[in-house]
Amino acid sequence: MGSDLTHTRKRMRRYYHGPVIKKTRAKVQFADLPDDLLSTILSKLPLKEAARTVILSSKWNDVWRVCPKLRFDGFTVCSDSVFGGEQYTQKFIDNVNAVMQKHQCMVVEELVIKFGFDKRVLDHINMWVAFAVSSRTESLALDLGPVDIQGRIDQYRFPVELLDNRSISRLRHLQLSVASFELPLQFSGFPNLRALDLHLVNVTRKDLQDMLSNCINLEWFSMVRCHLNDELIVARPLSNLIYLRVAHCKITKIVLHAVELKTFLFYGRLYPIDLGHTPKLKHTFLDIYSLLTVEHALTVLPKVLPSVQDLTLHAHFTLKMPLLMENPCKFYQLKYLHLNLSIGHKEAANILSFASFLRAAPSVEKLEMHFSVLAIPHRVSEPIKSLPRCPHSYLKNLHITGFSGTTGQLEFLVHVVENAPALKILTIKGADSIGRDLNHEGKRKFSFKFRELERKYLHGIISPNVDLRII
Amino acid sequence: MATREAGKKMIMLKSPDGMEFEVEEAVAMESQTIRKMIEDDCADTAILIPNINSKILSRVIEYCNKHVPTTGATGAAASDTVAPAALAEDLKIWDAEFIKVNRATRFNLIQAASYLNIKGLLDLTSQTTIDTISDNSLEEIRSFLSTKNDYLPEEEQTIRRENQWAFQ
Repeated sequence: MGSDLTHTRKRMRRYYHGPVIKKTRAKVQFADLPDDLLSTILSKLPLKEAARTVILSSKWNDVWRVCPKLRFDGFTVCSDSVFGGEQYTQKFIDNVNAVMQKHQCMVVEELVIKFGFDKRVLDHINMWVAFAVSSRTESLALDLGPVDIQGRIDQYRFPVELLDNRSISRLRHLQLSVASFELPLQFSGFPNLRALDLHLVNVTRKDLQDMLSNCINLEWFSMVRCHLNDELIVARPLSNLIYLRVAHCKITKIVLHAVELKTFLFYGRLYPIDLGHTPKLKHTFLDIYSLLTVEHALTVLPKVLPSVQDLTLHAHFTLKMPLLMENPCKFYQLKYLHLNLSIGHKEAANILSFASFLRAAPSVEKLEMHFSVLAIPHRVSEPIKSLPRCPHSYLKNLHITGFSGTTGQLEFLVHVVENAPALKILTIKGADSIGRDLNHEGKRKFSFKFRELERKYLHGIISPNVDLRII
Repeated sequence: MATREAGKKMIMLKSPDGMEFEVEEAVAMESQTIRKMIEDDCADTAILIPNINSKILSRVIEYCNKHVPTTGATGAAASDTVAPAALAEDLKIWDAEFIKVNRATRFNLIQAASYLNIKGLLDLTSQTTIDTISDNSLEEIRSFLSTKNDYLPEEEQTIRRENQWAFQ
């Protein structure tokens, strides 16, 4: 053994680059890792599995005590009780309290409580918030849905006043789901809050505005089903905000200044949205419930999203006679455009109108379109409309799904293909006449039919180098 | 020895066994610990990485090299033809190969990832441990973690009772 070691040392001197350490065989065991590192690893496990490790050895009992993340959720904490009953609630309360008792005076960086709220848990949740304060929690999530089965809408009021100054400045992540909050009169914001996630939260316009304008380091903000029934106007710039999601909220107008914004997701009826100057806003997802016209979309969206690189738009469109818009505002940086379109059967003949989207996006490289359209497939005797040439020199990839072969879809396809000299990949996924996916037999027939259309309409205009995929 | 490429700032990392590694600043900054040192201007000469030998450090650098976000000339060209999902898939396969190491190396890597604060690497290296804890019997976990049960029977009973909810 001794000689072995000497030998190793010699080798170390001689070969500077070789795998010399292997021979020294420092026998690192898992348990040699420091406790805080073990507890960090432990905290990646679901709470119950993490808690079970106490039985391994006394060391692991200590490791569990310093586990920095506690994520309680009704299903795992009381998996043996019938969901929703009184016993279930009591068990949840008892188990959470028992674990917290064990973690008393320890740092708990992340605390998550996920449990359907009812009045019986109110005092306990307040105590758990107090626990977060004393445990120096940086990330707090209270997810108190789903609302009681009997449809009661008791809502938990998040007690901002329970947070002391230290915990206010410590908090980096706050998630509230099915709750409400009111700001105290002398509220000066969460200075280090990075992420704020509100879901079904009842809050007034004024309180939300004050909250946002006073969280100067906010990077991530999401509000889902928070109905202000009013405007949201954040006067102070949100200079660090990079992610914004507004989903299913009844709001009448949004004005904020987010110069660093990179990602914007929106679901809802169209109302005025002004995000200020957003030179870095590259990724945008829009699911718009209002009925749109191509003209309106192409007048408003490029102005609001001048730097967008990838844009997904889900919408219902009402379509006029297909015309290429002469001077649409342009998405100069748009490379990837995904349109998910619902079109009524009356409008189906005018699908060619969407060609204006391409005209508004001169650098687009990939166009993905999904159609939900109710219309009968094209009959070969029918004439097809066309539009003036308008080259899309960068378009390499066209992916169309929900293609049921209506005349409008075909016109659009022919228009894009003949104007895309650089096209490399064309993917077509078929659908039946009401827009449903095809079964195996349907796919076979579709492929046959599509080849027929290809021969008649794409022959001579589609480059032989295009990889055509019928899926 | 790596050569200095135009426009790319290089950082020298030194392991306690005397090896020096020259890496691009962006790669080194995958480590939050090193990032902090660079941002605080404590990194004008070589950065000594204590407790991490050259073998482990070179593996860590290999990981960071692979995971540094690709931007600039090559990245821009790739970004639109290669979907992000494909890139992620590629990285996953690479990670799976990377982590095929013996237990001791893995524990060393955990330690290094923790000290250097590289979240992705810590997640990757500790995943096997997590899987073992969640999928195996107590005895198997003990043997994997080389842990001896040091409880007296009555102590074990008490521990079980105190944490009863977790065993149901």
